[in-house]
Amino acid sequence: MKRTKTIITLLLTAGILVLASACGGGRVEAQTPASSAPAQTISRENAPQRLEPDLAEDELLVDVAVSGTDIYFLTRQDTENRLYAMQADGTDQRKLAQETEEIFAFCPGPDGSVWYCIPHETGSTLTQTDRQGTTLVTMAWDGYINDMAVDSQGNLVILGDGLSVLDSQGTALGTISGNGGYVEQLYTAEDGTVLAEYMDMMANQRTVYAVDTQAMTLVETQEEIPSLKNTNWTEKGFADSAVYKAFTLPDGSLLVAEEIGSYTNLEGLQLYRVPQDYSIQTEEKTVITLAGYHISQGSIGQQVAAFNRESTGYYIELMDYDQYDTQDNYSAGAERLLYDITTGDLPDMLVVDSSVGVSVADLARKGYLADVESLMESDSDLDTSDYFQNVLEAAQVDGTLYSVIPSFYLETLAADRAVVGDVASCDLTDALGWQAANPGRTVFSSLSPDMVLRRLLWTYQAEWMPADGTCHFTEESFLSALEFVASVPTPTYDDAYYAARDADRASGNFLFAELSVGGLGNFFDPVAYWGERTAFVGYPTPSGNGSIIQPEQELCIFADSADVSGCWEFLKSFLTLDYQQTVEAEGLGLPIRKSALTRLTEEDITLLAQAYGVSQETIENLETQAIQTIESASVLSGGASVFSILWEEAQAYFAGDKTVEQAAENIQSRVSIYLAEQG
Amino acid sequence: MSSACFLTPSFLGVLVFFVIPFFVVIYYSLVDNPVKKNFVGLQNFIKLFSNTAFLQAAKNTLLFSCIAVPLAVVLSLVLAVALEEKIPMKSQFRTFFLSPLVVPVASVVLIWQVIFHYNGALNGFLSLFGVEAIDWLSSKWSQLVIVVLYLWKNLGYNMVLFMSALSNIPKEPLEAAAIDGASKRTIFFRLKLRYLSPSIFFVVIISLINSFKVFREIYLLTGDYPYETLYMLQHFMNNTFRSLDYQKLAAAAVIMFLVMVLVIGLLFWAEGKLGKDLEQ
Repeated sequence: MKRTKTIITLLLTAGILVLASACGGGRVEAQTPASSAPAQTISRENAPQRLEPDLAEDELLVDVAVSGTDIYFLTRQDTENRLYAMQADGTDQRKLAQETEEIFAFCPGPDGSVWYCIPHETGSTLTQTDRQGTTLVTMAWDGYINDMAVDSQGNLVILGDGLSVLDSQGTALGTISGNGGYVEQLYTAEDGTVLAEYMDMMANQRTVYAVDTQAMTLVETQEEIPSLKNTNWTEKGFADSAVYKAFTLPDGSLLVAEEIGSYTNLEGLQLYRVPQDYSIQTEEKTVITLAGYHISQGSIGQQVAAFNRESTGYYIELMDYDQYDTQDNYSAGAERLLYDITTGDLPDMLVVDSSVGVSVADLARKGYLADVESLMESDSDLDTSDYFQNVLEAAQVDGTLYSVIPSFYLETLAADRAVVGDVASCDLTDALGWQAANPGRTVFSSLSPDMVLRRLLWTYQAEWMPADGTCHFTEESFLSALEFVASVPTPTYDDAYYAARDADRASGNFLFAELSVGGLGNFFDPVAYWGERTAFVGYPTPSGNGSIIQPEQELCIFADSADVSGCWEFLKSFLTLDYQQTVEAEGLGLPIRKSALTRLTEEDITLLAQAYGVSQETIENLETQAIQTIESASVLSGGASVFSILWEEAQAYFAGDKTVEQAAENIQSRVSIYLAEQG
Repeated sequence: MSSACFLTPSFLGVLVFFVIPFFVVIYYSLVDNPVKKNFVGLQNFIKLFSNTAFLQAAKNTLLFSCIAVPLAVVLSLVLAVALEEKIPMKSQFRTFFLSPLVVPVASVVLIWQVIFHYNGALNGFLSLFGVEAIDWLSSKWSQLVIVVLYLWKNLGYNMVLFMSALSNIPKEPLEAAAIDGASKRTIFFRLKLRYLSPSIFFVVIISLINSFKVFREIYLLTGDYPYETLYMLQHFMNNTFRSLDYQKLAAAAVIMFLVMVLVIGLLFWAEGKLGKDLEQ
């Protein structure tokens, strides 16, 4: 009996110890992987070095190749195409060719000469220069050239309709026929063999063949395609999706061509020389974790890679929760993120967007987030007067800013001044009045009722759900909103719908044109309908301008982070002018910094004026109004839980099952519970 | 020693999955947030009692349990007694009352939506008599709907428990009372009910637990934020968990625990009293 008691006592003690370890502490170990493994120190001299060829300011590097210790690269500046060579250490840069027509493909040979082709409508021109740029051969090629490679003998293999082989003087040696498939690309292996990546359509299989330029055949080979696809680029300090090409140099180091910009807006390549066996994790850096959804790719992934390369003190480790999504559950990653937050397994930073399933306000009000506003204000590198203050204010939670918003979209409405008069904003009474006075006009060009109600919820939030925790959905303004939304037809997306919409658009026969603004140019679409009568009125709102700010992404720091200053060092990289000037072109919306906003050039103004048949002065005035609209927007999107209640109950009214008062009463009951819960 | 070995797995299971998490909940109810973890004493409890959503949920849950549990106990006992008598189609009635137990909740909810929807079967039927359509699930009638649903779902199980208990009552005292001229009513209230007291106690506990489980049906019928009279404590806890408000959630769980301890303690006390009385 005594022994039994002893065992129970021991178990209880163990239980209490487990409990103490589960509850106590406070520091989370997730952000200290660096400290768990002894870090190896390497000097910065052995870190990747950026090679910066001597190029004009707007000259973009667009392609690269390597032969021996020489690097060959192609640039583009307006209509000029230039081919250069330089040593692997970046010295001895020399121009090999300059063409006003597009150089489509080029490949260097073992002797340092280089072949390049210029496509024409009927064929191509092939040119060979020596390593100093002296033209050796120029010849016409009958057909289109997709790719080229030179083998160790100096023979040129051309991928056109099939595979053709020329000798180093350009004399045709023969052709190689395919095997029921087609060659996708050519590569030159390190030993000088030309490899062809072959797609067997019948077997749906890729195979690598060595091109035997003596026997004019394809020979199966075990050779790996030297594109280094299996390299762990994150470990080397690059975003996987940003590595355009990579080559192994004779000393074993890597030459990496990194894409700058997005797929749709490639801003050229940057060249890096990465020492052999280099791993970013061998540098003695503090590891900071950044969690989010689909963040490995795109602008976040590229910023992380750039930061990791350049920062001497910090390394950002990405925790991309989309990896946990499954075929059966597309929100498994979001659930896992919430689970991690619940169990205290917090990252240092979080990228909040619509996929994450939790809002900045939710996290901030529960004490999870660090105050970003004080970090911004105390940072002497940042000039906060250059930011759209209205956006920062709209993003505040209870008077404090907890997130960095690098860019945002603006949802707004334009209208015909002949209908709405000389106004810069409107409320629901105005909208209903204009609607009554113009019964022939469609209300919106393509917004559905739920989209309208969602936007009205945002613009009327301060009136319907003021900060005191009450709600006022039984009052007149909400009843008017429901009536207004009920008058918006539900798009059917059939042929008749599109035909009617196109007819309305052709004649400008609608009351409001909805705009999703990611650049100043988006403001000018309605000028096609209403010309100089175009007015930016925003969504109906009880006060101010009803334009809605939709952050592309919000970046936050967890209050528990061991290194808030390191996190801030990373986050502020999104606020630099260099980054901000790229966001519009990247399709990420409007920059948060005013000075990075792309203004219309004189040429743009002339073109727009001509396109819409209005004066240049009109375009200039509208641009001024557009900027005023951006600066006066004060509403941030959000509030999914409340919207789902509104929409569910409103549908009973739209279907005629309930009166507007009954629907409003149910909404009032349900939303008041939601708000009380939050209090 | 051997009994301790047999007990250990269960003990560890209870410790890991119930006791330790419960202490973690108590800990969370006493700190400001899961990140900073500053001790704030009873502040979370004070905040909770000023939260109108919590008060509404507690009121609704209490009201529902106060109405539904006694009804479930009394009606199932009446049914059990009725089915003890020699009545026609006894077996069919028993099957009829037990059938809701084997119907999956999702199907039950679907059926009830069809019945109680604004354009549902019940309003259609009532309209034949000129009664205006009632919004059963978003009006003052909504708790009634849930009480009916609860009774429909639980009466059968309680009835079987009572039938079993009734069949186990010793015959001698009942026959002696009958010979002494006691009426059926007297025999039921003076004898049978006394013998049934342990079963009544058990059925009350089970009904109370099931009354908390009705959240499942309400949630499937009306979602996260139902009409205010349907908003139960489990809604509050579920929603605060999803919005990461662990302090409110933990404080509410501790309060609920204390109330349950009090109620079950009272039931134990009452059962002890009745049982003692019977033994004497």
